[in-house]
Amino acid sequence: MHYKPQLPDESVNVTSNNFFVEAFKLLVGLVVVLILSYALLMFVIGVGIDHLSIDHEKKIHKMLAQKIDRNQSKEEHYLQSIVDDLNRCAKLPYNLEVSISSSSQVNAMALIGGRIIVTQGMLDAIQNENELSFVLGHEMAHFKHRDHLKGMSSGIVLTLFSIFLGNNSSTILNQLLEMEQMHYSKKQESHADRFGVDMLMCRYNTTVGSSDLFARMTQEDQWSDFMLTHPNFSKRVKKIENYIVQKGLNQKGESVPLQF
Amino acid sequence: MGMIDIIIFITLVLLGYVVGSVLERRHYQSIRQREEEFLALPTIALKTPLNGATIIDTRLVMGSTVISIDYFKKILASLRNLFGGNVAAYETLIDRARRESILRLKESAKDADEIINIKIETSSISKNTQGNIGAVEVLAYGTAIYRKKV
Repeated sequence: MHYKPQLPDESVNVTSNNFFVEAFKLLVGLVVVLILSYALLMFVIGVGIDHLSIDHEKKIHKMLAQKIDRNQSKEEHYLQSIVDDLNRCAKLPYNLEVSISSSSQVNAMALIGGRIIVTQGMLDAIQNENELSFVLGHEMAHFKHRDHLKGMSSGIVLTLFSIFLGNNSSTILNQLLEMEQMHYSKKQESHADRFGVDMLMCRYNTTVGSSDLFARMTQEDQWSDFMLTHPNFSKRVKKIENYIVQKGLNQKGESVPLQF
Repeated sequence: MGMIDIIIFITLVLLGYVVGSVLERRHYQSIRQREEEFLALPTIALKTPLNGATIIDTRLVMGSTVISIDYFKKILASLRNLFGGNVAAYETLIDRARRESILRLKESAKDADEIINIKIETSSISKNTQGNIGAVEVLAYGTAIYRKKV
């Protein structure tokens, strides 16, 4: 038998490839796919949420609430009484429940099913009952316009992503989640601000306390964290003032002191 | 914590890429050099010897190599895993391991006249375990033939 020694043919079994370029292409592809699916999911969930009835929302809330429900504290009772009173004006089809979170951040949130969360930091920042009522009225507006669900949809999508991608990326995603969940559009916020003013008029017959909190926030440094997620306070103050002037609402009167 | 995780990740990927490609280039150099060195020794998959001269000895010979992937290739392959297609990053790994195994087999039978009936087997090490090391083992074995020297 004939045998002729030969070196192996190197061009056959190994694809000559720049791995760095390949990795870059694949990464870009992955990012594009993630962005597209995020947009698609946001759209689908957004449409679904627009059609979510309040009854269904209450059911979802019931499921979630079992984990957080507890007796209300004295402060929470006080906030609850204000909300109940405001709801006589707002007539929202929710059983609104107020909870106080121990966070030192200055914030308030509207969550699915009618739960309002006010942070301890917010309570410390507030100087009178009118300001508190404005904040609560603002959050109630999110229920009225159902903004809280739209804020949630991005939260749902990001949660799904973090499950899909596993634990490695969850820390980054969690930060995104926290930021996203509390983020409404400027339009939604100023809409809610106007509703808050209406609530003040309804309860106190004066708009005293409507823009004071935000006005203080624009002046002081200590709000910097909050400013990052809720920019444009001076604009919001102006918008609130314009609204009051336009509607010719009463700007005079005494503020009611806090009762805790 | 998040930031530190990202920094560690990027460091590992870059380290894997730089060190991995340097090692691979060196390994290929060594493989090519030794392949020329051992070119005269026939290694074939035939079951019978090449010619009928008197055989005085036969021996089972083996060459085995274990090569690990680097972190960069691991990430690249997992990206590939999402989209499908040719995992070129692993091809060099397997190619190196196979050629190295045959070279080791030849080195273990330098005095043989030929090595016949060569088989190559590949297996992965620590597959599907948490924090796996992702290494491949290639075993080449055959029969070394020794003839009467004329």
